[in-house]
Amino acid sequence: MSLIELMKTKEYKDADKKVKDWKERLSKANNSEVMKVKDEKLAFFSEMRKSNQDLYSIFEINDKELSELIYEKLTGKKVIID
Amino acid sequence: MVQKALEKAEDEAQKVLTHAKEVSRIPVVQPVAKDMERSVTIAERSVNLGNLARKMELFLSNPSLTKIIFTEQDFNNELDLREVKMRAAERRYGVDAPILIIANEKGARKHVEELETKAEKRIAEKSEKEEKGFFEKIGSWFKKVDDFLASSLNFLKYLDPTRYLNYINPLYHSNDEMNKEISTNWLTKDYLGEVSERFARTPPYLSVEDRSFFDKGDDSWGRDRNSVGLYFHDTNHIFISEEVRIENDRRKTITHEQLHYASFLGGGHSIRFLEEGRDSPREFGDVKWLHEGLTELHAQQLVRAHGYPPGYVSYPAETTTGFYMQQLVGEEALRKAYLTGDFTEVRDIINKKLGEGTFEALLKMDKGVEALKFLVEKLKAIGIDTSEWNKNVIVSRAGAI
Repeated sequence: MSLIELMKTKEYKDADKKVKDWKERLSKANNSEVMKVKDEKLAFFSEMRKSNQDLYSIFEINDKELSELIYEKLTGKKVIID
Repeated sequence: MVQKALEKAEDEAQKVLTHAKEVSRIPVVQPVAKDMERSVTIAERSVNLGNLARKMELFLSNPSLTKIIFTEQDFNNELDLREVKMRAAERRYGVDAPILIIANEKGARKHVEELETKAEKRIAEKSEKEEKGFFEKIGSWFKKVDDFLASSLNFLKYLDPTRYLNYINPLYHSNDEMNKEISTNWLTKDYLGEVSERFARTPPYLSVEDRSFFDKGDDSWGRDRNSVGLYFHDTNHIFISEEVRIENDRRKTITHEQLHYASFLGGGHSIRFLEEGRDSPREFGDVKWLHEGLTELHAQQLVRAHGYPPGYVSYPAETTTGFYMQQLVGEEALRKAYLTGDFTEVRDIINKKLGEGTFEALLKMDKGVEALKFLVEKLKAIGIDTSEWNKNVIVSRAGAI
C-alpha cells in the first residue's frame, strides 16, 4: 500500500485527529498540560512506530513538530529535531 | 586587583563547570531548579561555542546570561581581554562589573593527559593477564580501547568538545573534518548565494554524541529513541548520533543539519511571497513539512553529487513532494526560495502551471503526504505524467509513491 493509499485507513484518520487535538492543546497549554501532551504523544507514536512503520513515516513530521513545540514551550529555546 | 578578580572569577568558573559536569548539555527540563538550569545553560553555551566573537554576540544579545566563560585560547586567537571586558561591561553592567571568567584550560588538558596515561597503564596491565589466545587478545584490545574512549569522553563532555575530542579520538577528528569539508567545499558561494558570506563567517559547530545523550533529549520532548540529528539555533550547534555509523549516511545527516542552519540564516524558515498589487509580502511562517522535505531533498542531491549516496531517504512523502516541486519550478528557483524564504517565483510558476491558488493550498497542508496527494491529483488533472520523475533514485528510494 502506498503512503497516499494509507490516508484512507481508519488508523490514519484517528491519528490525524489526535495530532490536531495535541496541537490545539499545546497552543494554549501551561507547563503541566505540555507534559501531559508529551506523555500521550510519546506513548501513541512509540506504539505506532512498532506496529506500523509506514504509517509512522507519514506522521514522523508531526511527531517532530510537536516535539519541537514542546521543547520550545518548556525551555524557550528553538531546536530542530531529526 | 586584576589578579584578584581573575582568581575570584576562576573559582566561579569551576562552580559552573561542576554543574555542567553533573547534568547533560541538553538542559533537563524538569525538575531542575531554575538557578542550576541557568548556570548549566551558561556553561553549556560558553564551552560549546567555537569562537570568542560568537560568545560575545550571544552574551550581549541575551540579557538572561550573567556570566561568560572564555578560555586562554580565545585571547591568543582573537580580541584583547581588556577590549572584551570593556565592550561587555559597558553594555550590560557598567565598567567595573566582574563579568569575565577565564576557564582553566591548562587544568583541563592536564586532566585529559592523566586519563590517557591511566588508560594506557590499564591496557598494559590487562594485556599481560589476558594473553590466552589470539582471538581473546583481539577481543580484549577492542574492549580496552572502548573503555579508554568511554572514560575519556565522559570527562570531555563538559569541556570544550571539539578541541579535545579531535585530540584523542580519530572518529571525532574525521567527523570534524567532514563537517568542515561540507561547509567549505559543498555549501559554496555558488550554492548558497547571498547566505554564503554569513555562513562562512559562522559555520555550524559539530559534536558526535552517543545514544544516552540523544535519549535525554528524547525524554525532554517525548520521542521514542529515534532522533539522530539535532540543530540548536541559539548555539549554532549540530549534534549527530554516533549510531549513524555508515559514512555516506553520516555525511547526509551532517549536510541536512547544515542546510537547516543555512536556511535559518537566510530567513528560509519563514515562507513569504509577493502578490500582484501588494507592496508587502504575504507571510506563511514556518511550514514544517515543506522545510524538512526541501532540506532532505537538497541534502540527498548534494551528497549524491559528491559521490556519497546515502542508504535511506528521511521524510519520504515530504521529500518526494519537494522533488515534484523542483521539477515544476527548476533547481535554482527552488533552492533560492528554500534558502531565503522568498517563494514569490516558486509560487508564480506553480500557480501558472497548476492553477491559481495551488501553492497557497499546498502551504496549508498539515503534512507531506497530504501535499503529495494534492499535487499528484493536480498534475494528473492537467496531464503531466510523473512516471519519469518517479524513476529518480531519490523518489524511488523514498518509496512514497
